[in-house]
Amino acid sequence: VKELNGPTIEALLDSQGVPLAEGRADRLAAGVNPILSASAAQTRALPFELEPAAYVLALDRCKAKS
Amino acid sequence: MSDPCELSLVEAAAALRRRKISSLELTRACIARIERWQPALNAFVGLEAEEALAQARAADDALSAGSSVGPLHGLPLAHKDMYYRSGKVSTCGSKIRRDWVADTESTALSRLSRAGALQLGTLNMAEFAYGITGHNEFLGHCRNPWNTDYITGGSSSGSGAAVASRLVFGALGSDTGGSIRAPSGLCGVTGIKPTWGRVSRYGAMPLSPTLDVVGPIARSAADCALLLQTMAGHDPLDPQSSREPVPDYVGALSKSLQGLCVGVPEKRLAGEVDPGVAKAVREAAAALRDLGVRVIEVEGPDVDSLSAHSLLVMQVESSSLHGPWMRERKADYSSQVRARLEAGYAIPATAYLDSLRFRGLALEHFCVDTLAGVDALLMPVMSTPTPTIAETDVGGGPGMARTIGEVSRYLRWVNYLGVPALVLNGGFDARGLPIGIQIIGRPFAESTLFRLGHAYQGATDWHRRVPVSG
Repeated sequence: VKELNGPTIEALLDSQGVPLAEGRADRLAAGVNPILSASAAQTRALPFELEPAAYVLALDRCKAKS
Repeated sequence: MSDPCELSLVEAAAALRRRKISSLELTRACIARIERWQPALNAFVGLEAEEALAQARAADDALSAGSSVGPLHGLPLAHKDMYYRSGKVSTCGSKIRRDWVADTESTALSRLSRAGALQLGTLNMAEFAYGITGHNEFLGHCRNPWNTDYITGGSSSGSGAAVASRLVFGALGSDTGGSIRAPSGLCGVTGIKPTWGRVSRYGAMPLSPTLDVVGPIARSAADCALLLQTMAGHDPLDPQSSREPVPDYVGALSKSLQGLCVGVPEKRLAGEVDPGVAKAVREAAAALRDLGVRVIEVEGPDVDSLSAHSLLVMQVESSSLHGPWMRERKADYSSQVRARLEAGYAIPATAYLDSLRFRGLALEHFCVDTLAGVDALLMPVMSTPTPTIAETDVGGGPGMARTIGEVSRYLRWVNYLGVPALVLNGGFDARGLPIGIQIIGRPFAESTLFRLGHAYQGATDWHRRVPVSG
């Protein structure tokens, strides 16, 4: 995954009405990129049909036997 | 009775029922203790002494009249200041909601109240529950009762400090990335992060609905079992609350441990955990083994990858919830919370959805592979010793972010999976600060965790140690 840089982050936040202080975007990039990279490493090849609600079914399948 | 505040919640409930003590005496004793220790600890946001005393008198009258009473009848509790009560201010630890009056009633509080509990006041917390250290720029930092230079852990900082210093018999916390478990572990008390959906979140301030859970902090596993028993179960007002039947947690406490197996990630303990903390975990494992539990070495979860998903989900959801204020009142956040919220707006929607899609697979992997052959996992709450307030505050130096990261590193991944975790005091370090341990289980395995915790606390006395006297 291509890393986000400061100007991109600044534009992203600005488009959502959240302007950043000077120099803040670069610091945000340093925090956000490792998280995006770590999560992407596991989600790069998710099954096509997999949807978020599958979690609720997994919760039921995995529940402790009483 | 020397100091009734030193009773556990279960012991106090029994003493009340047997008329060995009155609710008024218990409540007065708690108020006296709060007045004495509040200046040092800053655990309370608001003390509602007169209202609590009136409730206590009514509770005593009901007992005298032979009325049927609930399991928490007449017990003084206090809660993290994010559980709404109609007509009452709920600051949520923030400047933005400093004077905000709720117009609804939290289901968790309603259920505690229906069981007879009194509310003595509201407790300190991290601003909008978005912080793991217990710092609060607006309300003042909450202080660890074992040593006030050190953090309490957050975000349920006041709940951990108040229960540890015996100001109340129990307190609600909430846990999105470790917020029940950090203060429980760092303050040396017992706390349960229930399975996601086990307790209704209606009327509780949201931080990240995919991860948020409501749970109690108290003196012992038995106390937490009783409190969770009272609160758990489906609530039509929280459509994500589970319809899974609520087991008899209290009844399960006395069940044999025969046949239970606990896994310990020994390689992780040896490779990356502070030796003193690792020693406490190994001693806890040995105590469980002595009680008849089979203890085996396991690989352990990939905490860092799972934590990345957890953080990503939390950042996006919290930034979405706080959008209007981040656009209109950004200056009214503390710098640390503002910085955390800003990050959420930079995360692509596809990455957020991918983490949600992956969550079920990650849970199945944890339950089938990581927990293969074991009922629960035993791990420390933190891999490092408890840091000071100064080390984790603004201006804490270049290592500050890393130090804060270490506080949540072994906690946050549990919320991504949504599984339950019970925190116990596993002893003390050389500085006299508690070392928290957590027992993590499969979804809805709270009964098993309580059984293990209760047996452990029957064989040790760490949970009975009191940090402040008088």
